[in-house]
Amino acid sequence: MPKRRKVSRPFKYKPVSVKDLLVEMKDISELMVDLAYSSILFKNKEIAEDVTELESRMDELNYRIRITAMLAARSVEDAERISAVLQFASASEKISNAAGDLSNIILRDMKIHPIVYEALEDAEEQIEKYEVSTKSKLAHMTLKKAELGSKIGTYIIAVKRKDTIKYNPSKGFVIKEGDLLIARGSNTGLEILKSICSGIKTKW
Amino acid sequence: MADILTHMKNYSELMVALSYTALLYNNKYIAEEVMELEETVDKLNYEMGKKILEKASKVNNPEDLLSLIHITEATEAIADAASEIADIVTRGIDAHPIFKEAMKETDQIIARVKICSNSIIIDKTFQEIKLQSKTGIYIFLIKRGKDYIYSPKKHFNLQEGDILYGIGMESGVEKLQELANCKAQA
Repeated sequence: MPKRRKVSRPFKYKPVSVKDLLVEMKDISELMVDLAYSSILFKNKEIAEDVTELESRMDELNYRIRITAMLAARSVEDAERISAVLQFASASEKISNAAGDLSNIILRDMKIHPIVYEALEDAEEQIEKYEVSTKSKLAHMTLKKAELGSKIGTYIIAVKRKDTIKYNPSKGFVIKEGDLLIARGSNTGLEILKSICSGIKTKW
Repeated sequence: MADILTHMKNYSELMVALSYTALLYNNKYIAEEVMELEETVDKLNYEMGKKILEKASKVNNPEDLLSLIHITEATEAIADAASEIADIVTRGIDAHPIFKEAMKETDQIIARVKICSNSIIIDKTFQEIKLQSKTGIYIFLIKRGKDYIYSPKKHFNLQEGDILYGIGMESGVEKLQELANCKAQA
């Protein structure tokens, strides 16, 4: 099987905190898994390509963390602790590689077996996309104010606005009418989100 | 066949969430649960492999099954990665304080709370206690003895010793612990 092409560019060492690197690796790897499944569900090449793009970002982060880790060890105790950091980094890279393999199903135009859809539809965590209508209370609201995570248990993993997709939107992100929200959650939560987006539900 | 794959996907994602939690609280019990789940996923993976091979001999176009192989492999790889993360905790390396800081920065927290004796929620249903609106925590899994119950329904009756897994904000976790009459993590 031909290995898919990845954008690889030379990395330059920049001092950066290991904590920041770890947070980004964790967030990106989780995001990639969600996106990979949604690319299959929605048969969407655009999302699948973004997964590949994020995979190269993960490569870069992994490189940075390795260099930083090597520079940080000054004693045996240091080295032991740092080996834990490296183990974590390699595990999240594994997760991101698995996500890359998933999105490859779409990128390679593989025929998707109906059992795959059957399995994904029954899974605990579902991914759906909804458009925010002009009547929806979500329009002009920040994600922080919407409190979708704590109130209805759904998480916005990406927002599509015109031709751009914003991944892992921050709390200060302002939702606008016409935005397409890609959300993860249980079926019950997503049903509620659907009626919030359409404007039927005004309180949650 | 679809149900095996559904389980694999559910378990692999649960394992990732639990392994991060194990790291955050440096909790060996949670890490061991990840290891147990890893064995379950291994068995499911084997089952799935067998089913795919059986099917391949019966269909005209075995290539159609490729997507199934890919997804099965990916969920297995994710489960493996989760157990590697949990392994950091089980090996007892005094995990770098950086992990704690890093895990706290992500906004969703996974709570693991056991229902202890004299808790006011024993023998009550979710509907009666309105857990989600009171604590903001969504319970996605309950461990009762050796069984895992996914997405417990409204009429699910809680019992002493049940371990609740929930997702939510940190402030809600304390409220949940109060209701469950259990302060300890494990």
